[in-house]
Amino acid sequence: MDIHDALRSYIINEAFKGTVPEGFDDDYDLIESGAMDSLFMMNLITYLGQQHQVEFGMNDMVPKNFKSINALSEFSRNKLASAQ
Amino acid sequence: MNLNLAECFFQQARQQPGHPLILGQELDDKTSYAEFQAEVESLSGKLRDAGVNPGDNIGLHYQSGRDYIAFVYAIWNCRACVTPLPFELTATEKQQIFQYIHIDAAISSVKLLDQLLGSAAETKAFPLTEQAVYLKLNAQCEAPPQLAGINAAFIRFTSGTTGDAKGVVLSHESIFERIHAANQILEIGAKDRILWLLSMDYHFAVSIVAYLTFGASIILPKNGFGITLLTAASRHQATLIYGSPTHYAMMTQDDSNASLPPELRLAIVTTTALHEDAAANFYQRFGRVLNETYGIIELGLPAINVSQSRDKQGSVGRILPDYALRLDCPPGQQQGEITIKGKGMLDAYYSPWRSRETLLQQNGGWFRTGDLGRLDGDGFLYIVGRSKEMISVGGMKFFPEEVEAVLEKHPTIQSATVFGVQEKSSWGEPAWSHLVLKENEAQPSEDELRTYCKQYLAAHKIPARFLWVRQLSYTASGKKIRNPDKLRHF
Repeated sequence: MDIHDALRSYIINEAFKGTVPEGFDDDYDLIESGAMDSLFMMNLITYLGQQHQVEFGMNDMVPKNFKSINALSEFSRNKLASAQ
Repeated sequence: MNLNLAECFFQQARQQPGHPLILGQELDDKTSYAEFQAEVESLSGKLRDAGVNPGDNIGLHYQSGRDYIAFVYAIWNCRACVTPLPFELTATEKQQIFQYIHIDAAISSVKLLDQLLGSAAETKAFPLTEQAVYLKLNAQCEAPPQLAGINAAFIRFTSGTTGDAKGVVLSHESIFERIHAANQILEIGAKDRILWLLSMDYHFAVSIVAYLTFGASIILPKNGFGITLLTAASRHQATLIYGSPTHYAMMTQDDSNASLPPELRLAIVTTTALHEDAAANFYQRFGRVLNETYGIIELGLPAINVSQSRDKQGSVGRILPDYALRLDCPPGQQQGEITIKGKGMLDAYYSPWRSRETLLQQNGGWFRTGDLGRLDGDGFLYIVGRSKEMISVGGMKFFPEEVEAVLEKHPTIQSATVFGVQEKSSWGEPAWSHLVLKENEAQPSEDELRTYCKQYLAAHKIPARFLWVRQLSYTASGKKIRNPDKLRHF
């Protein structure tokens, strides 16, 4: 499973407990919808670090990186590419 | 009639019914004291209809926020007691709480109800709101008989200072004493608007209760991004912020021109030691010092640094007027174990039961914190070592013993230690582990260990690093040595 699919699966299961809201897609706004609250954000960072070796620095903790599944995937891929 | 903190809030609501209690991210998102009182009374009625009786212990399995506060106060209004079941714990960890703490029923988020169904006494859950239900549980243990003699408000599950005590009992009276002791310094009142950033499962008694008792407003931001926090603080003219070092770091790294409101008088840091670089960066960005505190579940908040002087950064402040401090320093040394006595001490450890009186008799009336401290010439306390070794990740606290026990059940691991590490460049204070491999076993991969830990531990408790060592370090009396200094501040 690539990181995009893994993120999609993690967010659906952990943020929405398997039941996604109407209109949900990979550009669904996780911040405006309230899904990206402080606790979920922390768990997501832990998950990405431990399962996919995506390391967040303080400068990465900005809304644009967390806005949607697509935004998170792009950020993660860029991070992994720059780490190689 | 015994003191009830819900009644203290109702008194305040009668005095200032239109005053805002909850402020959301947007300016028009507010709930007044009278509106919130009505919600609490409505929920109390539903809980009584569902079967809640005075003296019951109700598990609270819900995310932090305005509803969490309403549920706690509704439970108290039924003269029942609250045991938080932290939302982020795994189902296994929640089951461990049931094994030690007698819990009659739970209020649960519908989203995570399945984690409690294994303990349910009835198949049908009673709806409280669209998002929450009440569920009668099969208690897995008996409550200690001495509990009936305490007007208990909270039973907080914790592995405790000594590792063998499960649960801290706090009465309405103890919490009342704590908030009044803290408010001699904090001076919270109706003029205050507090930006709240922490988990309510771990922080409630000397903070949220104080705000509702003294008539303040609580700002609950939509998420933890720096720009969101700064916007909420400015929009509502926050006078206090209550957060962890991570939250302040998030504000510091924000690259917009957002600033803190001029009304802000205290930026309180709790949960863990503040790294000096984090304090310096915050000062450089906002021109303000961070106010550190010394909070202990057994004692409350006996020290708060309200000084605005950078010279006192790094100190948790002077001991509060209602507490006495003694440092048990070895001969010739200027630092020693912090021992404290004063108001609002825990009423008991739950399992095995040890009353406040028993605890104090053991130490001549003083509570031994296990932490090491020193005092400067002005009486400011500096924490130089936390021998309790509690780890805090973004305000969520846990003890290393719990994680070590899981690791030591892995078939390849002989023994393990777990300790918190302050990383200069990271967003949190993660745990690391030292592991000793069993003879003739192959070393498992990090991925394998993480997958294994995930079955038993919440994500924030899983060590960020698994380091293999030939042997662990022990004290002369055989206790594990954790928190090796050489790994701190790297």
